Amino acid sequence: MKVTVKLRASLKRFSKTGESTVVMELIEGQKIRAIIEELGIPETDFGLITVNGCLTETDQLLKEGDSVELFTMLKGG
Amino acid sequence: MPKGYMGKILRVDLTAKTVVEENPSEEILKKYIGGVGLSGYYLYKETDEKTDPLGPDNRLVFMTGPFTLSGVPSSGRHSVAAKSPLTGIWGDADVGGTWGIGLKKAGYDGIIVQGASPKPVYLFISDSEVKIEDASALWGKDTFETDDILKEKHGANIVTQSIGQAGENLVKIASIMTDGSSARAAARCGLGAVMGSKKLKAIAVTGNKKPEIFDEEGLKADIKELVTVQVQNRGGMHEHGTAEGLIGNELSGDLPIKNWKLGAWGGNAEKISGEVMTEKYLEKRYFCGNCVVGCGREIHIKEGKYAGVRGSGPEYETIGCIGSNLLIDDMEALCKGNELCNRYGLDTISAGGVIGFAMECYEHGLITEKDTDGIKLTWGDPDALMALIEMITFKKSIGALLGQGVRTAAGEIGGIAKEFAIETKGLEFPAHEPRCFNGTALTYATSNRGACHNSDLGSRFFEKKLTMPEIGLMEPAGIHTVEGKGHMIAKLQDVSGLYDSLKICKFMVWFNVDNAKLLKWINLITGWNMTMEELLIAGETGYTLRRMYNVRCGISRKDDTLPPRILNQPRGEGGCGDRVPPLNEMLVPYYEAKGWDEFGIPTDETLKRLDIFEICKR
Repeated sequence: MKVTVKLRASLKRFSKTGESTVVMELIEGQKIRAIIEELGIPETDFGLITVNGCLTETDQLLKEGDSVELFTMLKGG
Repeated sequence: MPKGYMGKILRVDLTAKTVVEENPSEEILKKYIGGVGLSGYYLYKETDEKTDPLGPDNRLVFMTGPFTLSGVPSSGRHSVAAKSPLTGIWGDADVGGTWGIGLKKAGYDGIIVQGASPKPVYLFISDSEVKIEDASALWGKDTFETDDILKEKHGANIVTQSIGQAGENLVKIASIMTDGSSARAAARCGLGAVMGSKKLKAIAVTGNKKPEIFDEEGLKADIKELVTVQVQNRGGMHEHGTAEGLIGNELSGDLPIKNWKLGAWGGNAEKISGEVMTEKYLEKRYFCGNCVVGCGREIHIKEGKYAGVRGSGPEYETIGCIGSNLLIDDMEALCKGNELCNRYGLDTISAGGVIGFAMECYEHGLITEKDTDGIKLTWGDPDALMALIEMITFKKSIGALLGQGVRTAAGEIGGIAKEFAIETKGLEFPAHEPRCFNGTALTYATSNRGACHNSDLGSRFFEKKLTMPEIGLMEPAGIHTVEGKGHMIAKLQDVSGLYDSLKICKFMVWFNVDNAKLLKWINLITGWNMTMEELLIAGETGYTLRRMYNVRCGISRKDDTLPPRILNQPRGEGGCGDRVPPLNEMLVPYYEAKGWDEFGIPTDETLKRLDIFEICKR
């Protein structure tokens, strides 16, 4: 199945294509965690995750056509 | 004298026009370390509940720590402390840049300023002389101009710290600014007004001295290895600065929106994020002393209404407080507002707090155009922001009241205005939402200087990602958990105070610095053989003494709270839109972990354990 992954802000550096939006091929039953591992994003680098605009966690199951956004960890000042 | 320190603190009496050197004992240095810890010791001894914060008896203490000028990463910081004119209790502000390093190069660990000069003066401190100089020509100048003039006179190698017009005018949300247009701010608690009350316009430092380091080679080797890793890992903080995560801050519900009333802003954070700043206005990144992360921004707006804005770009806190909190989504206007605050020496956090308060009062008819010289205080209007910054700085019309902070302003205005005053202990909220993170709620409620995001080492990071085994935090605690949260915040506050005493940036928790590193470094620098337990107790001792300062000023459990809007009203939309913080459930375990009684007063047993019973009961 194909899912669209948008890497926000400095997470773009983990894109294999150099683009902030990438389409990834996953196996049915895989979770968001699989995307993070595939892209090699360290645990302390990503913060929020949304699927189709809704906040979620790394253990959410994905389905064909999902749009995943990964945000950097909130740091603030 | 232990190594790592210069061993000298300057005491400047501006009434008597005298300067004397004092030598703190090794016992005191080991107990309070430096920075905010050591400042607390002096302030506790020399001021009390009767001290007028804007009177000559108040002390204004500038303090470095053993990490300053040691080469430790991100150690270009210093503490400023005084009794706060904004809150009437303990006040401190921690600031980056290079001024602390400059002071130590001049040969001093710190400065205690007392008394008040009848005429404007500045201090010139070099490694060969200390002079109290006439500052008549500087009075009325902003902080950027002051830096330029002093550099022209004393040379480009000096580092300055100064107040702007807000501090001169004793505005109670005035900051003290360092490093000229790079504009690092000791912003909180109105310490700029304390400096103004002493007619002290600036302090310029320069020199070539250096503290002796116990094991310089060992320290250098350890730092070299770490810095290589830090450069590899600096990621988003380097690329987009502290405002990188702003879009996520809105999504998660962390961002203040419309004076803390709303939970979502329709994605408008996209327009004012760190990425926008990088793309459109960034000239270069700013690095505080000994830092390789470089989260500071140097920006330039070249065209349009705000053309000419140049220097430090707005930090996350600034964008949150004068941006989303006021519904202003114009990045260039925020850069301009930030520059005005920096030049005038106004705390951008408190400025955003009082302006949000004023806009809500205006919406409800409690402030009208009669009070504002005809200015409409409309949400989202950058012109209203600029006008109020001017009015607050120069105490014009409603600005004179707003400059006293939201607590005083709400009391004066009366009616439902108190509903709009978002503060704890009189200090306006920074830009992280306690309804989103339980740890932040407990920290805002209990911190010594009032609503403070910087006194728990960023507990939200330890709720989501980080651990600290030395305080029993073996895995991230979770943002909505209650159990264990009291203990976690109690201990994180102590460790946070330790960072502010050693003098190292708290962002280092993201960049491979942990408590073991702090311990290794302080022993390599000083030659002490401290244990982890002793180091953590030093943090706890300083924190507890500052609490005792507040206890003496009448602070107790009644003050360890949050404003009604935060405590009782969920925002109804956005991240965590249905939540209010379970403050009371966390507060009792917090007091227990601190060794304080049911009223939030440190017990005699605790004071004796920390060996501060005598100083507290004198």
